[in-house]
Amino acid sequence: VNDADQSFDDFVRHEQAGLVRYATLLAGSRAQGEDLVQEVLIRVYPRWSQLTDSPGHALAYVRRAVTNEHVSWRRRWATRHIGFLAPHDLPDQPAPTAPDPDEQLWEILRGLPRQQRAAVVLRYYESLSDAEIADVLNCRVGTVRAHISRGLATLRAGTELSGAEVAQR
Amino acid sequence: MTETEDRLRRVLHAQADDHSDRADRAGSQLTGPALRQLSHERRNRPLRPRLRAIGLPAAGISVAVAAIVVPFVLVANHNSAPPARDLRPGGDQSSSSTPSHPTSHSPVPPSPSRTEPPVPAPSLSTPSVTSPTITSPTLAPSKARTRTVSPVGSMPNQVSTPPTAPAVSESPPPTAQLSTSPRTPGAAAVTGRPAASN
Repeated sequence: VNDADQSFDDFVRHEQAGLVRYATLLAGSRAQGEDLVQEVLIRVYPRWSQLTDSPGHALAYVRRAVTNEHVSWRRRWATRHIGFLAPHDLPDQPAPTAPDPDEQLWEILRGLPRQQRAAVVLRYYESLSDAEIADVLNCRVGTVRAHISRGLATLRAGTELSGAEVAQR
Repeated sequence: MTETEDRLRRVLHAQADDHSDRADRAGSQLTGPALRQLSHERRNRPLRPRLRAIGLPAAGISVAVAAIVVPFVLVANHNSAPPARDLRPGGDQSSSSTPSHPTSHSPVPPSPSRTEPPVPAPSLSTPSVTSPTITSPTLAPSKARTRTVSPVGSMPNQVSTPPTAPAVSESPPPTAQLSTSPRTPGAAAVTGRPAASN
């Protein structure tokens, strides 16, 4: 095992949990998130020695690759793969008549367009700034703000928020 | 931060932690050596077994590639052949519509009529260059200018080129000049325009 392989193993050991969490929020399920991260790491490994020149460059590059893979992966694999529910995804008890507001918000979030969803996740989960999100998504800062604004509007309309919050905005 | 943003942040972290707890219980399969092994296998795997793995046999691939490529080759050959054939029978009709007009005339003159005329051709080409009576009507179609030029320049040139001077003095349009100039057999072969005038 050379230095590049050792560096790659260390990176996977330290960063894969966070990457899988981020990919899970993007893809909507744990299994798809793991597949996403695995696909990206397999592709990144041959060029790993070029990515480890600067310390934070590798993580930013891999996160950006996960985001791009999510955008293209959903487009590429949506018609080929049939999604099966994992046993832990199945509810243990019958669904309640009135859905949980948080679950309702999560379901609406899963239905957002992929760019909007990625921007929302990067902002409210990864706590990145608009400029950093624009760098990850490879778009302008104004486009990031538009994605987040439209995503929030969709979430707000879906969860039927009170008029007081709308007035507050 | 609004209530929606606060709830959204809380839901995202809760979902991430929930999935992470389940994954910790199940055990993660993403390890560095396993990923490196997968990457090596993917790079070293040849293309044909990969296609066979998804259900495409080698013969099927060849037939499919041939079915795609052969029509393009046939169409390319068909499109490249007609320009050479169209020039011979109706060169003036095809050349007027297609932009390949200058090149369409070059294959036509190699007929035997072109090799013969070079002998009388110098006698016709030199007056057109030297005498102002021939060049000025072709460049300026206005009749007033030709009348002012022709009396001056026609006198010395009429001696050398008697047949061309009357045609220019009438100041016809450029097409009329071309039709009158081929009176001598050599001129018709040099310019190559008798077919166009007809």
